[in-house]
Amino acid sequence: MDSIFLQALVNGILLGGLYVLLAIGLNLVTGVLKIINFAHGDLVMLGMYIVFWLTVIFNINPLIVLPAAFAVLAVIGALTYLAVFSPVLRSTDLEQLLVTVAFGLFLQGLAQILWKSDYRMLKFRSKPIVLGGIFVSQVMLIVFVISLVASISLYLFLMKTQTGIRIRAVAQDPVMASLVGISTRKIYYLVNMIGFGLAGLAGGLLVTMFPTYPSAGLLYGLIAWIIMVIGGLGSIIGAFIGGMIIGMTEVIVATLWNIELARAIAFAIFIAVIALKPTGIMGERARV
Amino acid sequence: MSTFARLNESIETIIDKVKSNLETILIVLTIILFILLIFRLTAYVYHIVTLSLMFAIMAVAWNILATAGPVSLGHAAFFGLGAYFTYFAMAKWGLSSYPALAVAVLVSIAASLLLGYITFRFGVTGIYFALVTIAFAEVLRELFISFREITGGSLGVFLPVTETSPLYFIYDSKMPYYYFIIVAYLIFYAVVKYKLRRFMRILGVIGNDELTATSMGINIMKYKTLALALSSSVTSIMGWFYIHYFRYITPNVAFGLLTSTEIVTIGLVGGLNIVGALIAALLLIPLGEELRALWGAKYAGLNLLIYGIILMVVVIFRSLRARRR
Repeated sequence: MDSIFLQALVNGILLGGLYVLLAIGLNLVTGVLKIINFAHGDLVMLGMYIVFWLTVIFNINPLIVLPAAFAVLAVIGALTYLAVFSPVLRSTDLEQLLVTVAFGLFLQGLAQILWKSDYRMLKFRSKPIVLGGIFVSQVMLIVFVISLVASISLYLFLMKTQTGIRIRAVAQDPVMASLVGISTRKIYYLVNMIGFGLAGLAGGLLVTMFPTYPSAGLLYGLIAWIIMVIGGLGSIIGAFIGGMIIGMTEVIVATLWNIELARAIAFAIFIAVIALKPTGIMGERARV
Repeated sequence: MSTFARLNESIETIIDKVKSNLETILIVLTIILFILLIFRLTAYVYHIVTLSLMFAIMAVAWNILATAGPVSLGHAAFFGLGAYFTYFAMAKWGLSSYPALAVAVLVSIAASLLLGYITFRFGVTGIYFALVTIAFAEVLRELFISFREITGGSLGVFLPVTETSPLYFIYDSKMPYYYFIIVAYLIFYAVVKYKLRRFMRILGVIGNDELTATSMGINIMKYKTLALALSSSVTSIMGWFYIHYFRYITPNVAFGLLTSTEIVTIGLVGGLNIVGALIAALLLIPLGEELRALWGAKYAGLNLLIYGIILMVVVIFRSLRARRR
């Protein structure tokens, strides 16, 4: 029993790392553009399909095609900003939510037309490493490391580079930022491209472990939203905390009962957090 | 921009004209629906109209809640509860259809009180309310897939009654359902229009400005909860209707985001008036069904894609118009 619990804990941390990456792109877009994007999960789904097909067609390691998923989603990000986000940038939150829910449905329909609604999964077997009686899947470990590297490099990019500082300035006050000569439009394009690209990256990592199908986005979108709300809208540190909480809850409940119940409980935690502390764990004012 | 503005203006004129002639339009529409009976059209036409009326009723029910402020994106939850508890009552507890209806309504009222308590009690509004409702429907969907022994899992359940019987609201032909839904629609119209006039007005005040409403002595919590309970019970009645009509339901239809989105789209296009909802449903539901019937085999998912585009365009237009005023 104890070793099962410890096993679940380790797997939970590994899955949590991936969930951090899943939420971080959404967090960035929400924090800077102040847009309520519910289509994030469907972007993840697109990333899953891109990596799946490139891996199957060229018969190569999925890790090699991850940059392709990032690039394609970044292009989609620029187009989406132009066609969908910019008309509703100054609309109410609810209108933004509705538009992005509709955009998500559109992407789901597109995926269903292009690739049918079959479940598709990569056959990606590897020998688990044994560490003191605990089995650690090599795939999960690699995915965890890549997620962590990507998340931390985003954090460092925002904190240390000139562009990162500009992005944070726009996030804090777009009017003041444009007064000191920052092109907010360029920043919005850039942020949307990075955010969508990270969604594609997260999708590419997810597809090494889970099957993909056109409506997969709803699940991952909700998980990303749960993590973001738990951690606080736009807070990157919050995403780390939220990702770990949800990852561990999911794996522990799934180990003891089953996966659907695990998700139901994750959603229930989400409802509880919204009811009790809508600003999330990372406090009142969320910022990037 | 001028073409766009002109288009926008002409749409507004049409909307205003429709709004000022509601009663006439309703009478004309109802007459048309009954005239359809004389022509003995294909079962498909009646099927489409039945579905449209069903969604129109749910869209109005959704709008009743939206009038008071909360926008629900998980109304399918109540639809699904209505359908599934009808199934439980009939298949597991051996009840006939009408006691099952009472069970379905009671369960969805209980669920709406729970949801209302969680959200209104803690002042959850706006997108947070919408997200909670999405999560609420998703929790139910996952639970109904998870407890396979009771709910049949993701494959769904069949209503066990197969022979024609008024006691079980099961008929071989589609026509009794067609009559039923038209009558239900007219009754709902009359109730909302004449019985609930005061109630709707209070909800409108709350939706406009909660602070003003409170200072006028309106108990916001009470009225919002009532609106949610009314909205959810009407929606669950439609779930009861759906499972009798199709005799089959799956968690993905019952609690799915697509079902919720269809309700919201029709509700937004139609606005808060029951004739508008009917017109919107008569435009959108046949479109979805046609897409499914014509292109469903080759391009499954086309209806999702078109629905997505329609909802995006509708919301962007609404938002631009609201900001111009």
